Amino acid sequence: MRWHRFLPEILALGVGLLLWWGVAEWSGLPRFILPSPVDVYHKARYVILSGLLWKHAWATLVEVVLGLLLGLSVALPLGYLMARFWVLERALSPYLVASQAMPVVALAPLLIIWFGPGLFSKVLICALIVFFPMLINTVVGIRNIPSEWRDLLRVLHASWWQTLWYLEWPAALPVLAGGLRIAATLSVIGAVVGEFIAADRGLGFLINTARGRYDTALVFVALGALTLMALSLYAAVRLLEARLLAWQNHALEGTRVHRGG
Amino acid sequence: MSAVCPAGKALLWVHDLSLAYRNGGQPFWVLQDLNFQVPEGGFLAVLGPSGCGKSTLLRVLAGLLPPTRGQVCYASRPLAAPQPEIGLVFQHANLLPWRTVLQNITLPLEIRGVTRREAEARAREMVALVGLEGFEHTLPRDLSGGMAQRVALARALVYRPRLLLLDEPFSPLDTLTREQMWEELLRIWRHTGVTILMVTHSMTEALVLADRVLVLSPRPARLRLDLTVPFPRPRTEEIRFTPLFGELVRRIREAILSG
Ligand SMILES: Nc1ncnc2c1ncn2[C@@H]1O[C@H](COP(=O)(O)OP(=O)(O)OP(=O)(O)O)[C@@H](O)[C@H]1O
Ligand SMILES: [Mg+2]
Repeated sequence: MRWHRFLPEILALGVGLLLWWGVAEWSGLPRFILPSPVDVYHKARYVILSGLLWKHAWATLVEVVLGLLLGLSVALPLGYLMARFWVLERALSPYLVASQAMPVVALAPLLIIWFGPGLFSKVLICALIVFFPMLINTVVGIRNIPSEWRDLLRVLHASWWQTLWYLEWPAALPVLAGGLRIAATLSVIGAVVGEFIAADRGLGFLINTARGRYDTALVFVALGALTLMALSLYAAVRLLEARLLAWQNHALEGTRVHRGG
Repeated sequence: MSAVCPAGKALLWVHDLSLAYRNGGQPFWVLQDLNFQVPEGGFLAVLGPSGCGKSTLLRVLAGLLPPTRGQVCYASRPLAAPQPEIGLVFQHANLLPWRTVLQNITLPLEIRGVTRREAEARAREMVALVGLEGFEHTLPRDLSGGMAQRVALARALVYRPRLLLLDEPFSPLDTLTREQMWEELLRIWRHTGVTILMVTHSMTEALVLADRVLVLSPRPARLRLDLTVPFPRPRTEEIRFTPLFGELVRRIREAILSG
């Protein structure tokens, strides 16, 4: 009964699929240029059942998540220090601006030369892409904490780590979560780029080999899987946000109030 | 800064205190040559026109701002940084929005390493004291201005400071609640021996509560009047309708208005 609510979306999807199918069937384009939805469905069934898709998707997911974690674990502390100490920001800015001006993706071949075609170089590429937006968001999140809240913690004689725990972390969290949402999708891009250049597994690798064999239906399947992965990561971050940031979300009011204890 | 603080009974000793904010170029003078003392257990009210520097004075006395000139001594020692014994209630409640009422009140205790159980018990006492039972788990965004301000007061009282600095704590309250809060504050003051310095805009509030009233001039704030309030305690409602009360109001008003 609840599917009514999604009627516009379902209709739009159906019309899109029909159009695709129509064009693929009657345009006279060869299959290796535009496979029909039916071809893609059969291909998807095959790679899912044979376990091929899982193997490659898992490889990519590992790179993406490890890259995210690595990028975060450098960006968060560094961003915090830069927000707190002007000297550090001044000293590091030239490097950061330069590193941001250089497209990280173009750095990928170099990283693969240095660190080989294995997992580590992919993780590094993801981490590099994730690093900058997370760093900026950390600096902004910490800097924008109202000085009155800082005064409060000073009056209460909080140590630096108490200030971090009771004030800076929760106060910066909304901005950090915003950065993480962007970072999660960027990390997927990083992994795919790395796999395009040199790899023996991963969805990027799958796309590359399928292209070489003119197996366009498989390219479509891999693209779909990548999209799904990026969306799931995004959704996971949103879920985390909803839990951690319930205090600023009116919609979640009822679920949050815990009485007694 | 010379570091001579007289050993004496004054808990707070302010000597030739001047303060300027420095935003880039010119110093912006806010406090000018203030001299006064607050004895331990005293109750001082500070009055002055808006923008004259009252909140700035409290920030200095809380150890948040170093004096530009002159000296502030707390308990016979130069005041250089915030002290654990000093409580400050900010002009705008300044609650942390991700913490519930109860959690905002337990914050000072958590920072002090008090156990969770004891912190909650003490916070609940404070909630009752400021009349907010039933709102323990409410978030600040769902409180009215007056309720938020009472939470801020509870947060400052919960760790039993020796000196309590209050920045217009009762301004957002209605007359009735405000007078109830006066009673509560006086009760706490009597029972704990806490020293109170309170900024207010209300002459009545100052005269009903305080031992002494300081009147500041427009910015830069100088001391215009240091008035001892002669009413005996406990004070009754009636004092407000005595000729003496009227006379004191007249003197304060004159001090504020005199060019
Ligand atoms: N951080 C700051 N930097 C520069 N100037 C400031 C700063 N804080 C306050 N001022 C200025 O100092 C003056 C005194 O401000 P303050 O907040 O102490 O006044 P106040 O007496 O508390 O006013 P009110 O009664 O309206 O609360 C004002 O002119 C204000 O603009
Ligand atoms: Mg003020």
